[in-house]
Formats: sequence, structure tokens, C-alpha cells
Amino acid sequence: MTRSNLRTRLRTFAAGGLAAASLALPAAAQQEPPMLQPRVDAGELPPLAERMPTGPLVVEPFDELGRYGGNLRSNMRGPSDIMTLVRTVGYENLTRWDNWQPGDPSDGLVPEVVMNLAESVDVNEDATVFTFHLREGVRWSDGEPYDTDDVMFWYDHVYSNSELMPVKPSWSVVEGQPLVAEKIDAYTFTFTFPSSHGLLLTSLATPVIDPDQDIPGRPTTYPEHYLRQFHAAFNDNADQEAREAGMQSWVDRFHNVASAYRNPDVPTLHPWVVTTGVGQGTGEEVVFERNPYYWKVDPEGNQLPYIDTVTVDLTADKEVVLLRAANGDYDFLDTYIGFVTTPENRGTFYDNQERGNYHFREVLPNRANLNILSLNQTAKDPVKRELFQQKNFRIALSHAINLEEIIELVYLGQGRPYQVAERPESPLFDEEMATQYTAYDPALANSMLDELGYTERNSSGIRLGPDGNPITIVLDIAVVRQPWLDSAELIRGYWNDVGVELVINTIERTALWERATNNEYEATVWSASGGADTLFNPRYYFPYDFLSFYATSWGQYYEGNANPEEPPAAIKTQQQLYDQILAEPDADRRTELFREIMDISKDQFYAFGIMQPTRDYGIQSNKLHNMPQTMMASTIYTYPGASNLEQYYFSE
Amino acid sequence: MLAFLTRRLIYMFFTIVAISMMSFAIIQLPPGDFVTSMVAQLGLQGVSVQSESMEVFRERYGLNDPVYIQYWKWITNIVLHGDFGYSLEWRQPVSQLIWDRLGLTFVLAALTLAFMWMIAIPIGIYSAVRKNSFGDYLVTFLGVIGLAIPNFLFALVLLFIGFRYFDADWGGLFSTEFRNAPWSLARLGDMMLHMILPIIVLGSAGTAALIRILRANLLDELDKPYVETARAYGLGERTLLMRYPVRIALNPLISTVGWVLPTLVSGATITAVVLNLPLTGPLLLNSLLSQDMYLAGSFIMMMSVLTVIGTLLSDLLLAWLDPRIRYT
Repeated sequence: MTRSNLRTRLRTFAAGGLAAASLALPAAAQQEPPMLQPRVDAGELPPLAERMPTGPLVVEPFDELGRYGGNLRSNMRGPSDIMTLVRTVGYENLTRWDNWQPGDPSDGLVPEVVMNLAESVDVNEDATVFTFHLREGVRWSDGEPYDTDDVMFWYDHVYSNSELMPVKPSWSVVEGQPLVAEKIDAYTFTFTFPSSHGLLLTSLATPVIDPDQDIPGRPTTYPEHYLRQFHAAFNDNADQEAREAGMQSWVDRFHNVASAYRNPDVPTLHPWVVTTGVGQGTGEEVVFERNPYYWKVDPEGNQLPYIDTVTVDLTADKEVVLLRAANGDYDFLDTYIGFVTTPENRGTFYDNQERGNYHFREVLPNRANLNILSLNQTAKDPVKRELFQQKNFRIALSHAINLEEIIELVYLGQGRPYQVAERPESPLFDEEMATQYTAYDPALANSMLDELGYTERNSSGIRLGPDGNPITIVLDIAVVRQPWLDSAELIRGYWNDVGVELVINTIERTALWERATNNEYEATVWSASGGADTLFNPRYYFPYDFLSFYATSWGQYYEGNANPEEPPAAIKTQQQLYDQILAEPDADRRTELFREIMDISKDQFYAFGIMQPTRDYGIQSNKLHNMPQTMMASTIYTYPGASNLEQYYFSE
Repeated sequence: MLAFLTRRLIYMFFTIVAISMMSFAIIQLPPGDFVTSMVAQLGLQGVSVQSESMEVFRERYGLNDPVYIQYWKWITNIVLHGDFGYSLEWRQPVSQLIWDRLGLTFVLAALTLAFMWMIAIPIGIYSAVRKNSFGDYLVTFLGVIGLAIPNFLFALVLLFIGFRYFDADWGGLFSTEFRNAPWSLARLGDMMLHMILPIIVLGSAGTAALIRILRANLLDELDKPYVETARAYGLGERTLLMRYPVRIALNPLISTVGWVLPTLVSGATITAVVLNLPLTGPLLLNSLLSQDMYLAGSFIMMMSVLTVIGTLLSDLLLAWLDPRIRYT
């Protein structure tokens, strides 16, 4: 797609918005959600017609029109697991992902982006000025209007405030310059960047959270009329009041009261508003209730959401979540929400389908690989470095691993042997890259290692390395996924057969992070995101940050982080290509550039892939409808939020 | 007695100061800090975090300060303002998080203790008096089983039975409709019903241990000359038993009250996680895992103070019960 093409496309966003407005004309026949009727009758709420914008967003139900009522039950792992809430009840940004279904045309690495709170966006030729037109008449959950003033409050007093947001989120920074926002009128504003921002509209559709604030920190989450009172610029006593409330400073308090997941008083634009926040009540659950001012309708003009309340349990123990899920205590769960639908648990879920009154659905995981063993090519030990940087050494060890057996024993046969490569659905899929060196061939491995000159062995059959000492690799494994440990035990055996010793060292996740930051490890295991995530998180295709475990210091070079080290030319080429991608507004061109990165990465063969989960599964209550039976899951593609939870409904 | 009390109080003060330093230092021992842990957690979900924002976070909460400065800030706030600090993970003041849970934990601990004594004392006495009888073997057998089954496993099995055969969720301390309701008689009743299972689970191991202790102690006492003497004076067997040997055999039970409380509070952690009880244990465990140091520090501090107070109480109780102790 050319740049002028992009322009037309963004224009069609605008047209879509208009179409939505005209569709909403039968607004007169709108039905009051039964749960709200008593409050309207009592005069606490204005009638529906007065609560809705002139042009509400019309959401096409996935299967059919729904009915009102019900409580949607799910689980989150703990108080830090805010992402689960962001991806389910809290997915309202200026733009959003289209609900991608298999077979949908997609001309880029990621699904289409459609308009949401913004009704349309005009982009100039070189993608530096974005003019957003907000949907008129949208209201916060307390009935106050949402307009440009709220966006400007966010820009002037949150985003530009060096205490509240000392570090600007990466989506908003181009060439080191933060974005500039300007008000045009009550519903129009612009974002301006010093040079092309190819991915702004895409970035705005992603479900990130800013960990510093624990909320997305986007222009759609800061109601000026409510938050002013907590802001030091408007309230001289803000700091004092914050301390009285037990907070360290007004900054803490502000972030806390601005969180739609913690504070029941903060108005939001979400379909459901929190009534018991994280850590409130007994702290066992988070409860949401329908937003009377929600600004989306079904094609008949009925106000969404269909479901009245949402209850998210905070249960940390996996076994208990499994037990409850198998008992049918949750309406939906999978590997991204609730985290219990692992290959190991499939049998348990299968056996309990009837009792639990749920069924299986398909989740297309974004995971390029669920189990990747990386040898740190920038390890501090010069001997290890020399060994690991030899491509033939890595190839030999790859041939020494019996992937089929690992998958059979550890993953009960679910998944396929795969290197770190894109999944078949991806435009970047490369069969050869996925399968190179996966064949189990210990004889070949042995002869390759012999050719490298490590022919001498010690009394236990371990080859002697370049310094005359036995080749011993210490593998640090974070105790996150049991299969990592189980397969490492098998790999220890395989490698021992070819004369390389593997020492398994299990450590806590935080400790691994600490070691990685300081480049103090030889080898480790992690999983890689692929698919849509590749665009924003390419760390397994080239050294991108310190979590590129096969070459931490080279990654830190690109990231500009602690102990950087200049990488070889091929890697620098990859890093430059990625810079170009970020600035490129054209999706096809981005894919082309990414192919170039992939070709180099295939040639470099950075890390050993073990297993690619062909399909993940999720479970879903038989009473829950309008939920797509096949969904793509990913970190940046909002799963399951992109499928519009507001149009899910329960049958009797 | 007054001198005894004063002396104990002074010891207590220094113990608590030492404990507070130790607990804070221990929390700082694992590699990384809360920010590393949070970023690692987000990394598992594929979310990347800019390294500058990690630094800013550390800066704001003073995580870059040397340990003694962090300690000093924390302890002075507790002493001067009763402010236990800010939980980094829950983003709430620590005090808002712990009091409710501490209260519930106390109730459960007290009830469990009562349950343990109610079961253990009669059985202990019985099995000592009827030594090597069938009944003795039977309760010993049951006791050893209770001691041998890990609490959390016992809880998990009971939960499973509940789900499988009764279609009921026996976890939690409240039914769904009472979870966030204000306190009422109905809610109290609901809580009491939900407490039965945790009490049995938590009490099983402790009961067995108490039975064994009591039995052993009582056996030692039963053969002593004063018992013979009392018997010779014609005292009834039951009065004799309860008035003299049992009282002495109870000493160890009382002297351990001090640490029964903290054991129940912290030892119940895994069980509470499994049963999903809103108690202090799961919160403490989680705060340690995520290195949420003010929350963890405050908990450990609180528990230590409880232990120390408990020990003091049991010492006083002992001194009151057994005059010989007062003067040593």
C-alpha cells in the first residue's frame, strides 16, 4: 500500500464512523437495560436517550443480538495482574483492533485498526500530524461529557507533568521528542511528531499498561472534572491530603485515584465500572457493574453491554484455579486469562466438560515458541563466548536434541518441533527457518563437534573446550513453567551423549532478570512472542533489548541500557532495519523490511527452539454467547478485548 | 513479680528492635527489588518496560537508597506516625491492607487453638491413663496420620471432595453474597460455617503433636511419689488426676502458647492459599515473592511483636500457674 493509499484508508475510517452514526437512527426505540430501569424510575438517572451520544458506536454482534443480564466470571492471578482487567473490561482507546478471524485479509503484520473513541483520524502525507475527531456526545460514567478538554488535561497536566510521567511512553516518542498535542475545537485535536510515526494508530490500539502508574496512561483515562482535585496544579493541599490518606505524595494518590481498577469513584469510558476495586473488600475479588453512560449500542439501538456485572476473582494458586475452572466456576479462561489451560491440563478439562457445563474453544497463540534455550553469545566468560559464538557449535547442539521425544514426553504430544520462527499464519512465515537443524542426529552432532576441534574428552566423556577444561554449560531456569525444567532434564541427557555437560540451576524469576540485566548468565530458557507481537517485540529475531537472552549485551546496545556492547555488522543492519520499520507508515513496506530482518536472523541461528504450540485452547461456559470460537491471542493484539466483550451475552 | 515484669519488658524492647532490623535486612537479601520483580512478571506476559521508567520508579520510592536509610525512614514512620508505609504491589497504604486480615487471622488462630486444646487435652489424658490400650493405639494412630498429612494437601483433598461430590466450594471465608457485605449477624454466621474446614485442617497436625506431648508429660508424672501419696490419702482417682499431674503436664502447653499464635499465622500460609482464605499468610507470601518490602517488612515485624507478646503472656501465665518459675 502506498502512502496516498494509507490516506484513503484513514478516510474510510471516517466514513465508517459516519455510517455508524446513521445506523443509530432508530435510537428512539432504544431499550432501557432492565438493571437500570429502577434508577431511571427513581429519577437518579436520566432516560437512555439523554445518556447516549448523538452517534453512538454500533457494535455488530458476533453471532446474534443478545439479551440483558448475567454476571461474567473470570480470574486474575494477583494484584499486579492488572493486564487481565485491561484486556477484558478496560479496552477503550482512541482506536482499537478489528476483531480478527481466520481468513480475514490482513495486509500487514498485525490485524486492522479501526476507530473507537475517535470517530475519524486525518493523517498528513508524511505521517507527522494526526488530527483526531472525537465521537461527539460521549459521556464519562458519571454523565459528564468526554471531549478535547479531557485530552488536553491529560496532555498538559499528566503527560507533560514531569512528576506524573517522568518517562514518556515509547509510543509517544519519535526521535527522542515527545508528542505535541493541540486543541482545535471541542471534539478535534492534533498529535504532532518531529518525523514520521508509522505506528501511532496501531500503538494506540494496543493494551499496554504503564507499570509506573499501573494503568494505560492514555488520553482516554483521565476525566478532568474528577481528577483536578487530586492534582497539585489545581489543589495546593493535594500533597497534604495525599499523606493524610496514607500515600507518600500526591503523585501516588493521583495515579491511584485515576485507576479505573482500584477506585470506584473515578469515572470511566469502559462498559463496566468497578464497584469493588483491587484490594478492596476482602481483597478476594474485583467487581464491576454496567456503565449507565456507555456509548455503544447494538444494531437495534439497545445500549451495551448486554452483561450486567463482571466478577474477577483474585486467586493465585494454580491448582485451585484449575479445580474451580473444571467445576465451571468461570465463564471463560485460557492461557492468557487465568493461565491454567496448559497442554498438561487438557485432559482434566476434557473430562469435566459436562459437569462444568463448558466447552472448548480455539486460541491461536502468538507464541513463536514456548520453550527456547538460549546460549548467551555475549557471556562474560571468554571461553564460553568463543564456544557460543560459533554457529556450528550451536547447530551441532541443536541436532543433538531429540525434539520429538521432548514434545511426546513433556508436552504429551501437543505441539511441533520448531525453531524460533513465525507461525504459518504469519506473512513472515518461513518453513525452512522453522525447521532448520531440528532433525535429531547425534552422529552428525558428534562429527560437527569433532570438526570444531573439541575431540579430547575427560574420563566421564565430556569434551574439552578451547581452554582444556570440560565443556560445561550452566543453564539458569526460572521456575515459571514446569515443562521448561522437564525438557531441560532431557536435554541434559542428549547433550551428555555428544560430550557436552549441562548443569541445571533453577532460580527465581526476579533473580534471572537481575542476572540478565547484568549479563551474568551463560544460558537460560524463555518463550518468545511471535505473530502480531513481532512488530513491537522482535527480541528473538535480533538483539533488541536485555531480554534477547542469546546476546544480552548486544541487545543492551540497541536499547541504550546498562553494559552495552557493539554487535557485529549483520546485527547492526538488523537494528537499523527495525528503526526504519518504526518510522514506516506503509504496512506492506514494513513487512518487506521485516523479511530482511528475518533472513538475517535465519542465517544467524541465534537460539534453539524446542516447541511451537500449534493450537492453544480456552474454555467457555455453554451459557456464554457471541464469543468467537477461534481467536488470536497476543500481547499487543488485545485478547479477548478486540472481540468486544460488551456484546457477549448469557442465555437463560 | 513486678521486677520480673519490668525485666521482661526491657528485654522485649530490645528484642523487637533487633527483629525489626533483621527482618528488614532479610527482605533486602534476594537479588533485585520490587521493580525487577514487577518487570519480570510483566515480561512473562510479553510486556516490555522502558528501563528509564524502572529507574524513575526506584527513585520515587527510594529503592536506590542504601538499606539503612530505607530502614530508618520505615521505622521512624512506624514509631512516630503509626505509618507502616506503602505497598508497592497493591498501591495502597500497608495499614489499609493488613488490619482486616490480621483480625480474621486472630479469630481463626484463637478458634483453632481452642479446637486443638479441646480435642488434645481429653485425648492426651485418656491415652496416658490407659497407656498401651486399644484406645491409646487408635488415637495415636489417628494422631500420627494427622501429623503426617501436610495441611495443604489435606485442604486440597477436602476441596476436591467438596467440588466432586457435594458440588460446593468449601474455600474462602465468606459465601459470594457476603464477601463484600458490611458486617451483620448473617455474615458472622456465614463466616463461622466457613471456618470449620480451616479449623479442622489447621488443627489436625497441632492436635496430634499436643496429644503426644501431653501423653508423654503425664506419663512422667503419673509414677511420681506425690501421686502415690495422694492416692494413699484416699483422694478419688479423677480428682487426683486433674488436680495434680495434669496441671503439671499442662505446663508445656502453656509455655508454647506464645509461639502457637505465630505458627498458626504464618504456618497456615499454604493452606490459606489453597483454601483462598483472606488471611495474612497469602498476603505475606505474595509480598515476599514480589519483594513488596514495606508490606512484607510490616508483616514480619507485626508477627514478631506478636510472638514476643505471646511469649511474655505465656511466661506470666506460667509464673502465675507455677510459683517455682517466678524466682528463676
